[in-house]
Amino acid sequence: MAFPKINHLSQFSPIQASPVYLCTMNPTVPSLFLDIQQVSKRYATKTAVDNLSLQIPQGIIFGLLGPNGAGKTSLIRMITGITGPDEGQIIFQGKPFQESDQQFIGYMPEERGLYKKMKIGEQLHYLLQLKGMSGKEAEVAADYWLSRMEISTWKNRKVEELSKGMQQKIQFIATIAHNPRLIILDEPFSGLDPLNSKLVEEVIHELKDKGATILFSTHRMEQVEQLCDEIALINKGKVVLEGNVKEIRKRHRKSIYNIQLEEESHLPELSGMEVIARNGEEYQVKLSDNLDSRTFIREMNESCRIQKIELHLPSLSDIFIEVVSNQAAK
Amino acid sequence: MKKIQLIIIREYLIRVKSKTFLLSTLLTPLAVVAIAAVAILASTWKEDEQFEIHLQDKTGVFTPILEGKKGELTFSTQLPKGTSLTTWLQEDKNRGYLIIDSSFILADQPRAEIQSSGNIPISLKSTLEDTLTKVIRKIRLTESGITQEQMKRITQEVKLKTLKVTEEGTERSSTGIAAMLGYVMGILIYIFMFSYGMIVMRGVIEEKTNRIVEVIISSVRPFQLMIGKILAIAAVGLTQFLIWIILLVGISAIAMPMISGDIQATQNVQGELQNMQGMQGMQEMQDNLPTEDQNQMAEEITAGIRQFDFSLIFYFIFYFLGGYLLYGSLFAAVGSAVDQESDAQQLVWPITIPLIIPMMLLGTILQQPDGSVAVFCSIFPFFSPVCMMVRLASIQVPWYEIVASMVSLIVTFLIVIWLAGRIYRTGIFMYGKKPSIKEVIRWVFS
Repeated sequence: MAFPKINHLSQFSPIQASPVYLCTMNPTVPSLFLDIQQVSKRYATKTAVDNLSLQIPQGIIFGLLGPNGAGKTSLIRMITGITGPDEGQIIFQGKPFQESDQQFIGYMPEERGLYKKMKIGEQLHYLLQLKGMSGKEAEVAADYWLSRMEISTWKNRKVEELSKGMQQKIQFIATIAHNPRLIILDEPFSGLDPLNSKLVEEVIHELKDKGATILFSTHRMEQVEQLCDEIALINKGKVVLEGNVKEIRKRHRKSIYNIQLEEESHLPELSGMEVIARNGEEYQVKLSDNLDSRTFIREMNESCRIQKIELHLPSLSDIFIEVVSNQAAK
Repeated sequence: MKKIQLIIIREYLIRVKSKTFLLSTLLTPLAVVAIAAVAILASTWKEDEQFEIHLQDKTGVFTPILEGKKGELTFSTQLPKGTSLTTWLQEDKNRGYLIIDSSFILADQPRAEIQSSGNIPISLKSTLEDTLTKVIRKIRLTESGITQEQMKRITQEVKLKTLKVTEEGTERSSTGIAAMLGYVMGILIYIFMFSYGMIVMRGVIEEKTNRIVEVIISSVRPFQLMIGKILAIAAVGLTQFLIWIILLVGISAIAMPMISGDIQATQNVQGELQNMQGMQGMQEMQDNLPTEDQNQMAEEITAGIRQFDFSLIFYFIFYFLGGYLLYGSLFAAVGSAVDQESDAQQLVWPITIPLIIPMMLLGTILQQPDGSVAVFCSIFPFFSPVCMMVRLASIQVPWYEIVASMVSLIVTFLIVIWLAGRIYRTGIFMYGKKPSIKEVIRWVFS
């Protein structure tokens, strides 16, 4: 799904964002769901978040990327209301964030935490009630999600008896079971086996289809490409890259081509073409500015037998490394 | 409010349902009883060991009185046949050879001598001195022509009866018991403030190391979590008191009739004994059973129990809660600043020092419960929970001092809870480096 990118609140119109608008359950909620406006957070020794602005529309999976210490956790803590920004403000569902908004947010921090001595059922009951559910609602929600996540049989066991992966599932339930409109997941797949990863991924899509917005923080780029509709790359407290994943990849393509030749065919020498990698008949070449792609393909067609030729799109991981190391060089 | 309530319920139930709670609730009274029993036993313990004394009485006056006396001391004038004095003494350390010279009765400074192969215990020495003094006093008085009746009047010991003046009039006082009660209550408050404060600290550290704190703080404010925990643990403490009071009332309902019956019986027996001894003249003098003392002690205990002021329970709960809220929130602040209990040491000392000072002043306060040190300490909020409790139990404290003490305690714990909350909300997200006291103080103003 592609979304019109909204940079300023004034540009916003519900019609523009219709795809999202249609699948929300509450039509009065504007689709510019979370608007982070020039937010800063400073600690004694460093500035963790530096005049950062970010807009997140409703109903998408938004990836928050960045190297360690980039300010992701500080940003997330401000979004969840755990800490307040030193400057700037956060507009949540059209209004400045307030304490009561915490019940619309589910947050799974990177460092997982549960009460070890408490039974799973009681624990979920407690955590969900703290999010504003009634005792009865919490009970029903906990039961539903325990069975959805295939761990009903563990309801009366203590957390300390569980494996790490299972604890992770409990933590996930505690994050989502109160039907939050914004779900913040920090590395949700770490420690999960492939089967459980798939289960969590399915649930994330389900929640998105129900209209929830998911903010997903991770280092695992392949998951970002797979899951996220939009991303923002944060470094040193600032957004250095943001937008739709496919667009970002296109934007960062270089004139690099992957070529596979037929057997016993040879790659011609062309001025402006440089081979950067080779594996048997597979080549990766880079074109300089004086060789445009049409000329290159025509030349190639004439001088060798090509099995496959494609424009190489950089992976997010490559872009990540490139952007971050460029910044470091500055 | 609903969130604080949820937190209190969880924190309360998780502790009350734990085995530790059950054990400590049941074992603490047992431990107190055991310690008291040991103390009483130790103070009343009579060396079972017999001390045999071979008497060489050159005056001839002492032998009839001492010979055949039963108790820890036995006297004899004959050595077993075929034994020399030296061998007899060396066979057993608990044997002595007492020589009373013929000049003893008339001497200005009567001296006797005792020989033994071991050390003569001090208690034995003073018992012997006492016995000999009494006998010689009696002989000298008789020689001066003083009658039995006069003698009784002369040697009569003075008894001081202590009375307490209250608004309701004069009543039988129980100074000793009251002081003891004050001492016990002061120590109990100290122990509770300390141990429940530590429980708060441990709870905070546990949530921090578990990393659950971030999850909870995304639902409630840090201050709500902190205050919820502190209040829940206070409720745990009160529950424990309630159980103890019920146990105490239950036990004393069963035990009281037995104790007072006992006292009655002892008094009767002692009365009869005294009559008999009166007829035996000399015998009365050497018998140093402190019958009067015991009577008075028994009366004091019953008086103490009878006039136990139930407002003390109210004060106890007030000062426990006030002191606990004060110190408990400080312990919470320390807990929030560290990752593990072993790191807490260097931050805990500023709290433990004001906790311990009143304990060191307990003696002074008990001796002079109206002195300026006592008055100051019972109003100064960091000391008042212990010190005021001691004073309240032992004397009549002026109402304005009580009000001043309570108000200053309430105001202080409100301020301290606020300060602790400021430290707490920063501390719970600090991992790794142990902060210094300076840094912690900086968090208050951040």
